[in-house]
Amino acid sequence: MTPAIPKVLLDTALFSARILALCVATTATASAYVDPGTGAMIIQMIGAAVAGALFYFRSARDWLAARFGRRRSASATDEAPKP
Amino acid sequence: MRSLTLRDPDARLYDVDSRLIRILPAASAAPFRRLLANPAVAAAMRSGLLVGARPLASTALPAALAATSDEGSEAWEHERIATVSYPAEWSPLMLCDAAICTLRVQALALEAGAILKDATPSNVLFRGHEAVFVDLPSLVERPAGTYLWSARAQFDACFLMPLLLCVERGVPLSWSLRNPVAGVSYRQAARVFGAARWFDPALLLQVAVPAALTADSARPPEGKLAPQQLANDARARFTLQRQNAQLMARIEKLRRRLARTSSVWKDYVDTRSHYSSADLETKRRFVAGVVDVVAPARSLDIGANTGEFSRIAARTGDVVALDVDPAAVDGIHVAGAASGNGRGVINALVADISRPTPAEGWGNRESAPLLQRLEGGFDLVLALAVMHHLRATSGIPLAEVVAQLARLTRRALVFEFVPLADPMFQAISRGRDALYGDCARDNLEALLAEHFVIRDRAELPNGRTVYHLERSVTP
Repeated sequence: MTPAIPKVLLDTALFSARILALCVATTATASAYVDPGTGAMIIQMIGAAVAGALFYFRSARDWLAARFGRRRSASATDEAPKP
Repeated sequence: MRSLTLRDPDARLYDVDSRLIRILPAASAAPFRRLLANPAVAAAMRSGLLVGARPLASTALPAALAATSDEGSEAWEHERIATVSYPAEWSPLMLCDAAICTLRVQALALEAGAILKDATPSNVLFRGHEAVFVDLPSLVERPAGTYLWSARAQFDACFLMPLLLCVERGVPLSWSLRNPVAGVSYRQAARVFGAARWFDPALLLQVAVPAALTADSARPPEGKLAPQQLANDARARFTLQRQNAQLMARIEKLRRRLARTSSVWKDYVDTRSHYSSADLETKRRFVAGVVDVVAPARSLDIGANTGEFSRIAARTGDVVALDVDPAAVDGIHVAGAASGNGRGVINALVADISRPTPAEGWGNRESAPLLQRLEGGFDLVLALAVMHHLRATSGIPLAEVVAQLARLTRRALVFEFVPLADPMFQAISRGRDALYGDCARDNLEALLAEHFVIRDRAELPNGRTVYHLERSVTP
């Protein structure tokens, strides 16, 4: 004997399937004035925020390298064995 | 004199007696001159990444252009790229190389204080397998603090979306790049990928999110979306350089995937069964003999397949190699890049000679049809193993095939006769032999005699015949 599927579950599954079908099958509004540049611009702005953080991190790293890096290399030279 | 540009007032280009001359109006002349004087830009021009350009004194300007030259305008003469091709005629790897060329030029521009104002594959031509950036006025000075690339959407639409659609869904570039300036929008790509775009991390960031963010109606950008500039120009340039490096990494990843597909195809053609090694060797020796005799400066290989006969013709000059299969063209393109092309260069293009690229653009005058670019331009035309394809697959009468080949060559033709009984002809004709009554050897030779003189022939062990023909009347 096949177990009966509760009606609530069946309705929910059918409703979900309809919503999914609508999401997949419906076409976007066709318009001669759709602006394809907006998406690219927003993506670039998000990227710019990340790049900005990276830029200041690198600037700080370079500043630190400039402050302490030279001293380290100078001391390395001092410690080099002499002939 | 013929005008080659229409849409960009800063980039008027004219063909005057086969010389390419660009006239820059007064407003853009000085920035253009400054940019070309930049050492990095000059080095890129010497390396071949940028098309050659030299300033032309007003006294050296051809008389035909005098009327188009205004007060303060400046003229430049460009190097001529022998083969003009359009993006819909490229293989996927060629589009990758055009994208990489564009991004390298953008990197160079950013170093030189400039930026690309547009990013269409139409800015690129191919010198053999090498992509050359030809639209130099696309390089404009970058206002300090600019950190958004206004051509980013166009780059994605014309390079990234067509490549993704090709790699992931097999959509040919001849469909997606029919309009090489508009390409494929994020929304169009999203509809092709369907729900899958939300689950693949690469598609999510490159297609789904930009498509979802696309505005329904174009309005002048305002508020936070209005073009802004950063106070720190070094940060602005760093942002643009980082974006450029990320795009380069994406394209190179797609290129690696495509190159793997191309090598699979190469293994397939290496095991083709309808030619014995004796057939191929006889054919190679015959074609090499014709190339030695004719010494063509320019050759056309129709149905180039692996490109092995194109490479033989390239011993003495440049070759245009056509094939309908984008994977075949990828193979020739990669082989050219890997080994060099001998004395000449090989320009491989995706083209069906039975349905050649038509004229396109405004007034059907912006891009020239394929045959107009090819006819009468070659010393030697190779039509090897294409007779049955043109006759049976495409349904072109043999008399038309021969007449078209006669229009393409100035001097010589190598034609392979494929008898109706040939297994490959039979595979295409599928029992409809009665339709191809004009494919008898006697009839072919009578048709050839209308335009050519038979100089030599070689009988292949598989029953095919290769002819060396010379034009009886030079066009």
